[in-house]
Amino acid sequence: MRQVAEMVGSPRIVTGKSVLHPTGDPTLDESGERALRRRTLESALEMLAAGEHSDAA
Amino acid sequence: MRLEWRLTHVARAEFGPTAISGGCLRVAHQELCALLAQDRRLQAIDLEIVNPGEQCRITDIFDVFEPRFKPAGPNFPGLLEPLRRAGDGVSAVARGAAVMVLNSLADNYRKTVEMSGEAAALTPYSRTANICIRSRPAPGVSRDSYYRALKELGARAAVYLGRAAERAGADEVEFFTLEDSSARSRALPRVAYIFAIASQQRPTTSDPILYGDNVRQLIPTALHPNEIIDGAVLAPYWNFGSESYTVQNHRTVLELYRRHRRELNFTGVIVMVAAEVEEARTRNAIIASGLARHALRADGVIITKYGGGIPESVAMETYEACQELGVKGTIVIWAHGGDGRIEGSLTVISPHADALVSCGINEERLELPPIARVVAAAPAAQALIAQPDGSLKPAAGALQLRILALAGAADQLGGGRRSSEEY
Amino acid sequence: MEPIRVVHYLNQFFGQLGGEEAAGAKPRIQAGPVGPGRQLQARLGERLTIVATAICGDNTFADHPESTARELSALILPYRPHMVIAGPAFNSGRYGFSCGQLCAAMGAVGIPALTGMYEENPAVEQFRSQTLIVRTGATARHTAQALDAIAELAQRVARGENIAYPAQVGCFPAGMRRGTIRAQEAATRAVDMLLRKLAGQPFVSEISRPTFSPVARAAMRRPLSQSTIALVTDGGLVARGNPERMPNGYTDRFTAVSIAGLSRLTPEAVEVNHGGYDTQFVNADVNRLVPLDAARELEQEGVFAHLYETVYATAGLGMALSNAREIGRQIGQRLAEAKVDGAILTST
Repeated sequence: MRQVAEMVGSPRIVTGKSVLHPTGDPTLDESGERALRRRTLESALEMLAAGEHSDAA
Repeated sequence: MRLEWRLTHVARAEFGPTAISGGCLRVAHQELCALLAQDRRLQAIDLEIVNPGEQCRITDIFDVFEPRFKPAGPNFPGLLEPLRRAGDGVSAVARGAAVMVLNSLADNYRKTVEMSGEAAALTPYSRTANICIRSRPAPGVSRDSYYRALKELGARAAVYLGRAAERAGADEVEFFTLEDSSARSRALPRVAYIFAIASQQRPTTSDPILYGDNVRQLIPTALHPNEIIDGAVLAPYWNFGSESYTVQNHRTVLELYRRHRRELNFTGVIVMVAAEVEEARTRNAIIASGLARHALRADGVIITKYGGGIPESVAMETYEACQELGVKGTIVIWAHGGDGRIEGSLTVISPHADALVSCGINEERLELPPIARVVAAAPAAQALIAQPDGSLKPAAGALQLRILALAGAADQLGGGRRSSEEY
Repeated sequence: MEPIRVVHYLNQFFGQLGGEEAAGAKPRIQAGPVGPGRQLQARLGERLTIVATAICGDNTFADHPESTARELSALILPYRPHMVIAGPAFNSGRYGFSCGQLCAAMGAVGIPALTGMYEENPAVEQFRSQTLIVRTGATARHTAQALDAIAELAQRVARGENIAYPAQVGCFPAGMRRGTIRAQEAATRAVDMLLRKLAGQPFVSEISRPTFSPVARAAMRRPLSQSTIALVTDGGLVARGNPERMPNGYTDRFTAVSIAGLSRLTPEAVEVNHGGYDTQFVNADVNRLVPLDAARELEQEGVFAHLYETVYATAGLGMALSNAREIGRQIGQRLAEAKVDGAILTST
């Protein structure tokens, strides 16, 4: 749950669909679910990538 | 709306022609079984009676009802009888008796009642005369249908025994009404109660929670407190800590009533569910708090929950949403034991949650000794009870029990004196 | 009356072995009080007697906490103490750690122990749940008051007093919770509390708000397109059949689920075991919990370079925070050793 992640100080949080299926949605058809899942994962990866990289050295 | 409880006191029960006299509830075994057997979803219906003080352990409990009968109806509208408003009129109550519905399907959430020994002090049902009803689903009946049938069975038995109270006459009368027009009362702080009546952590389809509805899509709404305690709201199949009996005798509703017009103005009840989707949780918090502030004009709210962690989050979110509108709150909430540190007490705690009442540590366990008599859905000799580690042990032997599995012991609705403290 | 035997613990400095250069001193013990122990004895009176003083260097303790505690135990126990008093450590972190560690070890074998520290000493947070810690000033300038407080507490302990609320006897609160039975029902207490709150009167919450420090935001070492990404979950993922018998909650364990060669999670490979939510939807399609199929797509498209072949998983239901921190630390360490650049935790 988002509130728990915020409470314990997580620096990067993406809100999933539901506790019962964070990266899925049984009310959607298969292609809809896969698209949702992909978007959620993309958001997470974008969050990881955002911000400075440390120096390569 | 004026609800009148006519209480007939029951100290013990036994089989015999159905009647209450001298504190003894007699139950006509054959007649009640025949009545309940009319439900074709059920078979092999049987009764057992367990009285306070007996060395007995009752297990496989699915739900508990207080026997009640409203001659003018409706009795459990939406579940047993056609939909009509609950909360008004006369209700005969067999106070001190309880109907225990046993579930013969394997289910980790069946509960136990200990009638003697140390654990007895922790459950209110050690002090009630318990009419235990066992049954099995008829062939082809799904679990969901069986559970719905069990709810109806409990309600039907409750009404049947409630009729005996009505025939016996009242030892005591209580009535509940919010109507008041005194100036002094208008000056008192206005308090509403926000009641999360279900958690969607474990959704089911047939669960008759609100006027027979399973509240899957419930948007927060307002009810009269009388509806809560007069059969419009029942305990969900899965709730961690309460039975329908608990709701019929809802301690927070009764406490607010007790102090209504003396220290506060009880302005009403908002019911909502703890949704499993975040968007719905936020939507519900917005609407519930709006109802509290704008419709019920509350200065303060008391919030309670069922279930586990998500409902904790819902309670906090609703509390914060109320706070935003200037409505102050307290939350009755359980605590997690974890490693004992205060930081692990709650799944979520909001920045402004400064008024929490603890209803105990939910992981507590009890040690139960061997017991002389067992009443279960299965024959006593075959009855098993799930241990905290998931294993099964004979019900008559020494065993461990999670506090959540002792019916009535982990009331999250304001009853009971189990709590926790920090040191 | 039998005298109460006390063993006092001091570090290298207060134990008069020397300064920083003696911080590596090995554990030793001698009869009677040493240094500030004499002032402590004066306050303890006749009935309590410091029969011995154990001394050890702060670095020794810091470098080998468990074995040092064992060695000191072995030196202390022959004196058959009724009580062990450590320090006071004031604001010294390493000394505080030594005192805390020793007191906890003594408590574990049933010997009442107590110490004293200043509130900013990091050892307070670490040990207050395991031993009584008296509040003291920040430096040895406050020795007199510190020893007064320690002596007073020692008298209580000697009398067999049950210290139910450390904060009421001059100690730091333990920061713990325990079950209790109150005089009134929760509903009554809730209405009382609300009415006080509405009237602007003081009230005490039965559950206080913890403070969590923010987690440092680690930056990615290299661009995403060159990175190795790992998936992690607390939603109860296990290999099919749960061969490691992972519990469905209340655990301190985690498991490594291999996803090598898998393009999506299937019931042939994995299942979900978690007691805190209805797992029917994720068991029907485990990618709803750990998004392997989408991750493989993005890996093939080059959004990131490589998907790590192991999913570390646990069941988060009812997990004690200390276990969560330790599991997180261990998983983080394994991922770092495997040169993983970023991790995505899916949580229920």
